[in-house]
Order: sequence, then structure tokens, then C-alpha cells
Amino acid sequence: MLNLPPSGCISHETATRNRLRLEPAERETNGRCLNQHSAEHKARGREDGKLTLLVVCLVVGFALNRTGRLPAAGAAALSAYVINLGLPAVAFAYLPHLEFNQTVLLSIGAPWLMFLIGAGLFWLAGRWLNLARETIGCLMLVGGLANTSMVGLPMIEVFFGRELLPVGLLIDLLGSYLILSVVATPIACWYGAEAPPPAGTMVRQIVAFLPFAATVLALLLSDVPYPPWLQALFERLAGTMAPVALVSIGCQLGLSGVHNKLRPVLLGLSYKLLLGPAAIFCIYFLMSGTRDPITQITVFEMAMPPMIAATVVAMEYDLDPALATLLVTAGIPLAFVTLPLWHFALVAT
Amino acid sequence: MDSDKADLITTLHALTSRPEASEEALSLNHWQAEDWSRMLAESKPTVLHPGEMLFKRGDDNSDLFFLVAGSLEVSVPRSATGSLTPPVIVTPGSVVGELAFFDRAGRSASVWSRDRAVLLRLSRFAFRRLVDTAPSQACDLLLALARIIAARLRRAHGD
Repeated sequence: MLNLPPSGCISHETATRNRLRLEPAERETNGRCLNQHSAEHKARGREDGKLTLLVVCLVVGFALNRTGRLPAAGAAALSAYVINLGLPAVAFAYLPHLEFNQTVLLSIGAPWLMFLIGAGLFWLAGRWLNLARETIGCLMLVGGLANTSMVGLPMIEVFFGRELLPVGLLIDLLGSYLILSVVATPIACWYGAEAPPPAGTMVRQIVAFLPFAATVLALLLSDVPYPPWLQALFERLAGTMAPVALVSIGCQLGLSGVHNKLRPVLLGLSYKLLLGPAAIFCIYFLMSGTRDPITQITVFEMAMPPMIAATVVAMEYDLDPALATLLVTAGIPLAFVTLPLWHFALVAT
Repeated sequence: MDSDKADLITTLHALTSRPEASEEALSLNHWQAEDWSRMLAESKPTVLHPGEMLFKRGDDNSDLFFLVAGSLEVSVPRSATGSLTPPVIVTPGSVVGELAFFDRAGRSASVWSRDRAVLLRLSRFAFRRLVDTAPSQACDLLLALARIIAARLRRAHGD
């Protein structure tokens, strides 16, 4: 089991003891722990390299889609790869090394808290601004749920390092994904005036979601050591997750041109990118006085752009699809401006 | 036929007769005004406000929509992968809903208006009547729709 120290760094010795094999990139990303100037310099170079990878992948995805080099269903195929192979590999590669403590449990609670605060805020704002019922429902879903996997996990890898991915995965699966499956769908039905699907169908969908099943299995097998070749395989596959997810996100970028949605878009994105994470920041970071990297990642995950899957659910239930699309297509590029600022705020405080 | 609908049909005729019409516009520039009036005699005008949904992916309606004014956005949301294609814009003189019009297998994409949009809605039943009363015109329409589908397929494949 890997117990992350409060400083947010994992020494090579600790990592080795805990069966976590740090690749050169991680060793250098954690250069501060080595307390060597040259290592720190190299680490910065690696971080810059990852940031470059992030930008290149997004631009490549966008260009592939715009030039028509990727088939129409290309983004869906890439997303399917991430969901069915990349995320399960992350779960098997890194999750067994994570210690389930109070901080991790609080992290899982963050998306629930942010969704709850957002739902209340959007309900009040909807009444105050006289927004349509469908618009309020759309804001609750798309403005309240963060893209903690397809954008969140690559961003964690870039800004905090690969060894902290399991925390992001738990926030995503036990937070965002469960909210979407269990809470968001009934809310969408309520605001879309449609009958909710049977509870059995929802449970089947959750269990059949491969990353979720893999997470449960990885946690159950956490005390069983993998053979080295299997660990290496999982790590190799997990390493493909970030670039493929980012290319997929790039493919889905394309701003909607509906002009009369400025007010709800501003409302939704202000909460999603700034106010919501700020609320979690205040609750988790300032009030508790915690400075550990898991709490940093928790706030960072909450600052992710709107979840595309929430947009899909909003569209399925006729909850202002134009607004849902605008929130996600404007929110993702904007997040690449706000996320580095959040990282700076989290690391600097 | 009321005057509003007649005006819309005249506008559609003018849009598709322009030499600079896009490749996704109906290529029926040899049609006269009366041909359009005959085909769309049973159509129903539909007005959408900005951002209003015309239909969503999976809907089982199979009517064909002719866009007369405004513009639409088309996107394919896939719940299995939680993915969404970037919105594609449809301009006046073109159609939406052509796939379900042919195969009645449910809408393949979601469509909403970018601004105030005006459409003429033609049901399959009205088209069947056109086949009986004016088969050569019905054939022209089918070819024009096939050309639009081909253009959209080529674009999707990057040609």
C-alpha cells in the first residue's frame, strides 16, 4: 500500500518499497524530493514535455476532425478505447498502491458536494433569472459535473504526476460517474418531464461500465502482487490513456453558434470553472488546513470543464441541447486557461 | 394554400435556383415554381426559436425538413462512449432528417436551431402521394436527396 506523504512527493525508495515502479518521467517529475538541482531542472523539462504533449494532442485531435482525416465516429472510437482499455489499465496499474484513508474518502465526496451546491445555486438562479425549466436542468447536469476522466486524468498526469492518477480515478468513478448514473438521470427525467428508467437498468449500466468493474476488481485484488510482466503491461496501457483521451477531446471541439445563451453559459461556466472549485477549495483546503497532494488533486479535479457524458444525458432528455453543447464546447478550451491558474493557486498556497 | 406557406415555397425555390448554392442544397434548379408548390402542397411550416430542438437522436419520427430560413446545428451524441461530435451547420436550401425519411430507423443525430429557423415539414405519407401523382418529380427529389447524402458522406470521410 502506498501512503502518500503530506509533501506530495514520493521518494524512489518509498515507491519501490510499495511495488510502485516509477518510470524516469515520474522520478524526474518528483525531482524536488531528490533535492538535487539537476534533477529539478530535468523534472521541469519533463513537465514541459508533458504540457507540450497535452497541447499537441488537443491540436492534433481538433485538426484530424476539421480536415476530415478521422472518420465521423472517430471521437467515439477513441473514447471507447479510453473507457474500455485506458481507464481499466490505470485502475489495475495504480489503484492497488493507494491507501484508502479519510483524505481519499473526502476526495470522493467532493464531486457530490459540488453537484449538490451547484444544483441549489442553479435552482435559485433559475428562479431569480426566470430561466426555463429545461435550462435549469441542463445547468444542474452540465454545470455541476466535471470531466474528471477524459480531461481530468490527463491533466493530473501532466500537472501532478502519474502516481496520483488513482485518486483522480476514484473521484471520477465513485464521484462523477456515480452521480451521473444514479442522481443525474432522475434529475434529467424530472426536468425533461420523462419517466426515469427502472432502478435495475441503472444498476446494470453501472456494473457493466468497464472502468467501474475494473476499479472494484483492482481494489479487491489490492493485496495480490501481480507478476512483473502484468504490472508492466498495465503501466504501458495506462500510459496510452492520456494522449488518446486528449486527442478524443480535441476531436470533439467545435464551438456552437447559438447566440442567445450567453447568460446561462456564463452562469454555468462561472460555477463550473471558478465558483464550484473555489467552494471546494474553501471547504477542503482552507478550513481543514490540509496541504496534501490528494486534496490538491481533489480541488483540481473539481475545476475541470463540464462532463461530455452529462451533455449527452441532457440532450437525451431534451434539456436545452444547444446550451449543453455550448457549455461543453466553450468550457473545454476555457479550462485550458483556468486549469494552470488553479494549479498555480493550489501549489502556491 | 395559405400565403405564408406560398411565400416559403417561393423562397425555397429561389434558394435552390441560385448558381452559387452549396453542394448540400437541393439540386432542383430545373424545377419551376409550380413543381415546388405541388411537392410541398401538403407540407407544414415549422418555426424554431434560437436553440430550440427540432429532433433528437433516437426519435422515431421520419418526416423530412426543408430549411427555408435561419440555420441549424447537427450533432451526434453517443451515450455508450459519452462522446459528442462538434456541431455541423446546415444552411437554407438544404434538408435535415433525410436518413430516417428513408429507413425509418430513428433519428441518427440531434438537430437544433442556431437562430430563428423556418422549415417546411414533409411527411412520408405526403411523399407517397407525390409518387402517385407526379412520379418524375418524386424521382427528381430522391436524386436530389441522394446527392445531399453523398455530399455529407464524402465530408464525413474527409474527401
